[in-house]
Amino acid sequence: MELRDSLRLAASDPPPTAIDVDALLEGEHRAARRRRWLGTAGAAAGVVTAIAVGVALIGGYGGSPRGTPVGGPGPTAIDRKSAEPGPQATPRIPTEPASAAIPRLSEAFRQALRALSSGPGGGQLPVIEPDLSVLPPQHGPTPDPSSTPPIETFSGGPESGYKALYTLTDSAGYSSLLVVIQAAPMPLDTACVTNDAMTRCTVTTGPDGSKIYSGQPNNAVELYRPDGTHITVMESNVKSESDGPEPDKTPRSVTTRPQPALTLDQLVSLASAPGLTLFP
Amino acid sequence: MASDDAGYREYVSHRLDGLRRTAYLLCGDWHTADDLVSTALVKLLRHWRRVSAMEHPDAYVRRILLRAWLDERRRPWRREHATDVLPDRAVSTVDAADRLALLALLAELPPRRRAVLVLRYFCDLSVEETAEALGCATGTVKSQTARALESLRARLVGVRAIEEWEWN
Repeated sequence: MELRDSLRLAASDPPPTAIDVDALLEGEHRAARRRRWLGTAGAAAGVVTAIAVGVALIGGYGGSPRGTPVGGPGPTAIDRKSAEPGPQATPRIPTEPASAAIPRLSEAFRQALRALSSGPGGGQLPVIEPDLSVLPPQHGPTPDPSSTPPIETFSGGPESGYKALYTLTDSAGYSSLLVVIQAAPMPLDTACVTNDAMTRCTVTTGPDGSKIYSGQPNNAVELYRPDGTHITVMESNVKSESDGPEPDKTPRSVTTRPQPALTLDQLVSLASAPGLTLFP
Repeated sequence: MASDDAGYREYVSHRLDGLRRTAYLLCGDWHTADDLVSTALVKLLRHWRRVSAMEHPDAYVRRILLRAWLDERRRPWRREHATDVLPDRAVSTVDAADRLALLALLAELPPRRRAVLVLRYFCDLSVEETAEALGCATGTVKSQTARALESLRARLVGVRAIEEWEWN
């Protein structure tokens, strides 16, 4: 059989589609109306701001003689924050070398885990350990456990980003906790995309202006910091078996525990740990 | 607006099936395929006036679909999930073993190589059209095709004679 025929056979007999073109058209028309309305409102806000700035400038020049230093307090926290760059079109490239970032991020995440275990509901937490099988070999002899330096759980580099994998174990089974830290601009679109893997999704804004996307049922949190750091924390209760059971050995996924061990709130607090940034 | 909608509806009704099958071969899952096609159709709708005036709107739609799929692949948390609800479809009478075997083999290929195979051998695109859809050189398409077929052949040793399969 030719590849062409095999592909046609593989894609034959599709199930009924869930795509409703009428609903899609209606939704898009509604979104277009909303965009137009927001555009008008934005333009109106711009005009108001321009007038306000103009009035302030005129008042400033009128109230203070030219050449005279104007005293007063220095920049406030709000001033400094507003001076920071807003959403960026391209990711910033971290300048911190991996040799410095890896121990710093590992320590920051350890502290976040400690804070989680000492916080509300911390007593019921599963055992959380680094998944050593995915880590590069730790250098140097480690004869005495009491003097062993903390394991550097993150690996990667400034361009590819850093990732760490932990295993969560309790009587219900085990799951994997994946942490990925990369440079990425804050998304301009605040919509939360749901799909087959993410049937519920919410967007919130953190106290520092971070944008936090959290979703279920596959317990995942994506957090975008204003400084250009993108943090993904995901708990997975699925293990891929590339070599499935006999006789056909078809790859399959195995569920390792019925429910996730951590709540979405706990994942959000881990992702929000202050030290998890690429731009310290 | 109404005539735009009618034109869009007509276009989608003719292409929906093909787009779904293409998406399915790319991602290996009908639900994800529907999500990808929905994403592509929303983007198509936003630019429908411009796209409908194009000479080859299909190429544009395929590009959107490919980008939607490649974007989806970059989101680690959306690749795999557990479910306790099984689909209530009956098992297909089509040769399920062959289908699964091919999908499993495709799934092992890197995304762009898989896309090259699907575009060339399922969508019947030429090397030039495939290069345009993927935004790369024709030489890249040729080398990716050769490598993809080589990978498939290596994996299929002992499973099926691949000698009959095309190489160009």
